[in-house]
Amino acid sequence: MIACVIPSFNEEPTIAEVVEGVKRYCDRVIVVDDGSTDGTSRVALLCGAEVLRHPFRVGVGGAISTGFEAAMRRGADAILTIDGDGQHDPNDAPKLLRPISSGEADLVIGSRFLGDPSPMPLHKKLGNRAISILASSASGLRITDSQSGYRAHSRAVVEAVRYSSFGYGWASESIILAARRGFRVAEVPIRTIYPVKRKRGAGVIDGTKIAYDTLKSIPEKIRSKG
Amino acid sequence: MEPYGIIAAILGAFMMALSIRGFLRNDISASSFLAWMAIWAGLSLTGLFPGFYSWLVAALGMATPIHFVTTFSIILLFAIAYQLNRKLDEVNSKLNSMAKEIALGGLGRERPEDGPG
Repeated sequence: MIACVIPSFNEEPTIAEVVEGVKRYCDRVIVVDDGSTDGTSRVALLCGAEVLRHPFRVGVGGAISTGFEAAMRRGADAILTIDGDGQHDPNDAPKLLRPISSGEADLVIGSRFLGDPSPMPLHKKLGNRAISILASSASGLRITDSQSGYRAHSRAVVEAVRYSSFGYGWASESIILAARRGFRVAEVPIRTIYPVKRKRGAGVIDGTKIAYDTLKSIPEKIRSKG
Repeated sequence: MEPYGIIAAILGAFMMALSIRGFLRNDISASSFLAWMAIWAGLSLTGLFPGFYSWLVAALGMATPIHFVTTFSIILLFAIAYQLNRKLDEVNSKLNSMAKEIALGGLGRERPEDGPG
């Protein structure tokens, strides 16, 4: 069974399109409403998604974690994660899920940099590149887009990898932990969509926190090798 | 006695009274109460007897008692800020875990008619 987890915070305008888009590729769609104050939950329910609601905003890492837990309890064999703001193309889902179903990989990251990243603003490109370099150093893998939330996970990797970050840091942390536990991590190109009015996403402060969390992992890697 | 000494003594006594009231109302724990009382007593003593620390100030090679008080206060404030930050992280982590449990427990699961929007 393939489950799709969609973390969302005030995504009323886009959530319907995302849910309808992934329904074609997933058996169960779980929207984790991270304390939205708009109609995100209502719209997601009307589209046929299962909705879990945080009573207040926890962060994207916390929302993904809640979604993972729910998907595991419902017996998912593979779990797709996709952002609720419409920045990912649901039609890329088969590309992400294929290496999981064929057993080639345990964690597949949809990389905007393996595709055409030109719609991404320059400061985001630079920030994502810098964090990807740090995540690559900490994990020992060559990762081009460690902050991408569009991913496919095998059940085994979700069971074994318990990241601690409640915020944007979950993305890099989960790659580092998966690599350390010997799981196979792969990247596939995805389409980059940056809506003109996109108002959120990791800012400079979030980027600094992610970089700090990733840097913290590097000495642990050196220690584990020694 | 210098005017700043009088102000420090009054402030120390006022804060002591607040701390005692807080302790009697069970607003603060016994260990916090003792720690804060020691701080307020130190503040009052500094105001009332500015020469009280002279021997310590001389031993530490500081010019005046006020240097000792300000240096010690800054260190103490850093320690308190660290402790508060640690506590805040702990509380934040617990709250986030509770939010997750509520969502998974079905309490936060919504029916279409009670959507927030």
